[in-house]
Amino acid sequence: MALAPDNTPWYRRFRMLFIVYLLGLFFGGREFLIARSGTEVDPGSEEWSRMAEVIAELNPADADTDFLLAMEALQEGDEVGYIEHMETALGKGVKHNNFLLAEYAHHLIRIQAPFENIDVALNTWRKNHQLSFEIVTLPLGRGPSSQQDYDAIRRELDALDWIYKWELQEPAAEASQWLLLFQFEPAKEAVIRDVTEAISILGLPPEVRSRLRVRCTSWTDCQSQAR
Amino acid sequence: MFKTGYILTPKHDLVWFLGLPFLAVALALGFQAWLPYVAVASINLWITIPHHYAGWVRSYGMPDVWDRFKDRLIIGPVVIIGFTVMGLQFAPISLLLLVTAWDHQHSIMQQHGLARIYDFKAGAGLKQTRRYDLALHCVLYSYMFLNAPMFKFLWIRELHRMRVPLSVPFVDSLLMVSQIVLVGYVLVYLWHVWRTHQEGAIINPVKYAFIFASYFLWYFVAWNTNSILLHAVAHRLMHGVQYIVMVYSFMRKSQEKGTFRVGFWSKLTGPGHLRWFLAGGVVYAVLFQLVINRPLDEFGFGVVNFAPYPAIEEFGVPAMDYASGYALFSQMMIYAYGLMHYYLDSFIWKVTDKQTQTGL
Repeated sequence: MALAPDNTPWYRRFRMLFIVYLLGLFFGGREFLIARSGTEVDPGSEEWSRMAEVIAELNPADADTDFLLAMEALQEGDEVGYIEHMETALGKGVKHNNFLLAEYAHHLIRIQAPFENIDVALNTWRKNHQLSFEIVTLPLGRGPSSQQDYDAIRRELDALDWIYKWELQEPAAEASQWLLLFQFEPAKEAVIRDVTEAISILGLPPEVRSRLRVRCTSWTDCQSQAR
Repeated sequence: MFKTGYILTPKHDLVWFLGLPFLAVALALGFQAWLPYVAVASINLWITIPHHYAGWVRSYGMPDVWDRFKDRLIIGPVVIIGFTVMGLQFAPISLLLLVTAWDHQHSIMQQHGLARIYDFKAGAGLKQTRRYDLALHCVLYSYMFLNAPMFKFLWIRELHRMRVPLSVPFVDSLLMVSQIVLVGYVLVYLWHVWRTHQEGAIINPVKYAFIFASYFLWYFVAWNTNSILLHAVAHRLMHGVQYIVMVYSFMRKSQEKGTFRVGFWSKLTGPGHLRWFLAGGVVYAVLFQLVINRPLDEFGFGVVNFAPYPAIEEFGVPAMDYASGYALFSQMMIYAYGLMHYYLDSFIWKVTDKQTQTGL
């Protein structure tokens, strides 16, 4: 049985598309002009802070609000406030906010928090966003000064099965230290102590690196031992 | 006067339209408690993408529908893809907001459409009931969108980003207005139901049970969560599953009644064909995932992965990373398919077999 032809006038047939196009042009045009004038409201801007205040007042119990406040605290140099807000957000079982989980893990690495705390944060992030393959950045006290050093680090890092890919980045204008950039394997548990031990191999003289390895109990307490 | 009417049958409606929202909330709570966030991507692959496939079959797989809406079915995708490409280049935030807004409108309209079917099946309502129902959906959904913590956060943030700063008193006033509108409209709607009754028209109580179940899901997940995970899982389950059920039921009834010309759709309906319809949705999701270059692990709810291939130190075989592990899986597929071919050919081509001889 053939259906009756669609005899509605063209402007009614396509009205949905017209509405979407008009809305898109209006909001998109506005966004384009704001972007060109360089006045976007991004984290760190005054307007963003005002928005955080409004949300904190209207939505105080939300985990994303805690995250906003944590980032504001960090901006103002309030380390304690940052940690408090972050831990409040994490205590609410937040899983969806990739940026929150990644930022907290990175922050703990930056301040060289205890290994166990970093592992919890890294693995919470990795477990919930295990296929995002985002990069973890670890500042190094010391980088390789020769090909031999580089090879030693390569041997140690390649042996870690939870690291998917890694790369060393030389000091540059934006980062005065050597940086180790690495990504997780999706199904493996991350252990930050492994990385610390791997890069600490540079502390050993080249001739003993094949016989000895480094074992660390903290960021500063590392000792060599036989392999 | 009350009269019940159902979209499918009382039993099926109880499962798919009245019970599913509650089950979806329970499942989402389980996901929130026990599964990582990547499970949202899995729900997307198992439910949302196949529901798009069902939509393709319903629109492009039915020759009569194609003939009737040909210009919309051709021009629409061209315009939408062009629009999306432009949006990504020049106004990505606006594009995201537009997609989100249309998604909300689409969700409202699906529940409104299903509610309309309840009235259609029972012959219920007055001529104006359609409009009252649509307004009810808009008011209920808008109230949730404005007031629920999860959505409130999003719209306040996005308006600020679009340089529309809002003060706390302004938002408070807006929320108060939304509450007045909600209470006021519910009273107006009750008056409409009363008038329907007074004019001797039929009222279908199942429609209201369906609307209650749908909004129970939306309101519950919007207010009782610190995570988008709960909303994403529950909403996608309800929306996607109900859509797939509706498309299949529509095609099955069309085939039984012979109301549409045969086409691709009719190969997927009829006795024993449901499995092919569902399998088509999963195959479509796999292909979609491959085309957008996302890992197939996303089907695994964060529990099943292409785990790295461990080192076999005794043989000096190093551990494989994710990419190498995936390459190994691909190689395994090539080998396994080859082996299956060898195995099948070992018995289906026996020339001594009488059955084979009949085909030679």
